[in-house]
Amino acid sequence: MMLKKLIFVAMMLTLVTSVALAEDPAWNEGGGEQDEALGLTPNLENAIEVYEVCAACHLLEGWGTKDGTFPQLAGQPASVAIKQLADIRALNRDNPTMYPFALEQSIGGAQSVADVAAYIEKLPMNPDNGKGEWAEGTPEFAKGEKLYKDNCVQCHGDHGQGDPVKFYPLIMGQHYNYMLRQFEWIRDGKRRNANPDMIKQIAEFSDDDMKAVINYVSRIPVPKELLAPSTEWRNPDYD
Amino acid sequence: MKRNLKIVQLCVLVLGVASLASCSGGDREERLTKIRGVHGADEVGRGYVEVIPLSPGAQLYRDKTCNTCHGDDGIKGLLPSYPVIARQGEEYALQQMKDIQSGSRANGQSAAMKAVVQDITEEEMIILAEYIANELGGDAPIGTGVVDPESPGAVLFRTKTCTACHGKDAKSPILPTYPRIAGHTPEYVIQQMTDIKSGDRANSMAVMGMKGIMHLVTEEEIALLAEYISTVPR
Repeated sequence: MMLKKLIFVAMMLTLVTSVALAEDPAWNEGGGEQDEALGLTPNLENAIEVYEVCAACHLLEGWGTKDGTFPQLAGQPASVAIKQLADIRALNRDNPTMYPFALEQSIGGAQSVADVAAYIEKLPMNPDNGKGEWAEGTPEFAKGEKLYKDNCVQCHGDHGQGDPVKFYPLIMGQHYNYMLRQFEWIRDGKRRNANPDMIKQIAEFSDDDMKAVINYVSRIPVPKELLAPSTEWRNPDYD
Repeated sequence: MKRNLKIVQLCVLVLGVASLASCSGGDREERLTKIRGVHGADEVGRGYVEVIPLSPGAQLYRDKTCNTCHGDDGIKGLLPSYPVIARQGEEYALQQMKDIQSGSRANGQSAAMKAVVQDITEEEMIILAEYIANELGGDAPIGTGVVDPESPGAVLFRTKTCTACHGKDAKSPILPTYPRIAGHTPEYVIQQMTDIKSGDRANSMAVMGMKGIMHLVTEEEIALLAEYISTVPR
């Protein structure tokens, strides 16, 4: 009897806690390792060593894979990379595939996080990212463009450049399938470190809306100075 | 000098024991000793063979009938679709026993193990896992050892990011809760990869991590990978 009561109390506590969490998703509490890494001066020599771990999936160029299994990291502002790495390490963002590689034992402490994030930001971007199927001139492209202007510009910027100060990611040049997956997870509450403002903003998006807007984002032209000269470019740090 | 004398003494002793055993034993005893092997015998103390008592892990391995399916050496299982468990990582082995007992892992042949592990306590599982990782199989070879680093499976093993988690040698996983896969049978590997891809096996975050990339390999590639993995020594 006593045990049953205890179990009941435990269940209620769990319920209350999870409701509290759902109402106040810890999108960016900061603190801890994130703040520590943000305040450190990056060491790019060490970054080359650290990044080799990441390269197993994200490739030495940081371009990820065109099919969107692994996102492009190149060009992502350091603050965003620090936040996401810190979140994955602290289990605030579910990423079971990446989790072991994000751990301190694999890449090192806050200094390494700062190092690798600064390194990623400086990598030239993939000139041939994975794109949605609708080219400019199609009605789907136009629909996506409108959706983007009405819903996304305020945070992600007029050409998807993001906002490093607010930890909003750069999304131009990102692979279509990767963005589609993240967008869906954010909309459906599966990405726990999502910004609650974005969850609200896209709550009414249908699957078609989602595809249209991501198609548009995947086709925003990336400024030439941010791109690698060609798809043949290879990261010289790993010659 | 002193050392040499000791070696001579030792040789004499060994020879003496051996001859004693051979004259007083007879065929039956010899066979029994052979069958019972290093684990010693149930009925001994006849004066010529010193019984090595089983370690707690080895005792449990037999008492809980693990050997029935996984083999006395943990290498040659009853069916090729059973895993080679000798020298498996301790934490991974423990996690699998727990997950099979709880039912969170029930894919393929592991469903058959559920009934067998029902009465094993967590303390016993810890002892078993330690035994499996460190003692079981001794240094008997695992994996066919005929490794071709340029075979299609070997190339896939590198290009499909398998090495990132399981290690270049397929036995140095990035986390202790990830398995050593070198030397598994092709049948077992195919079953696991197929089940992880389909979601039939979804126990633990480690497995979910692998599911995230399984769309990168086709059925044919899974077979090639399995073939290669079975050649790698553990």
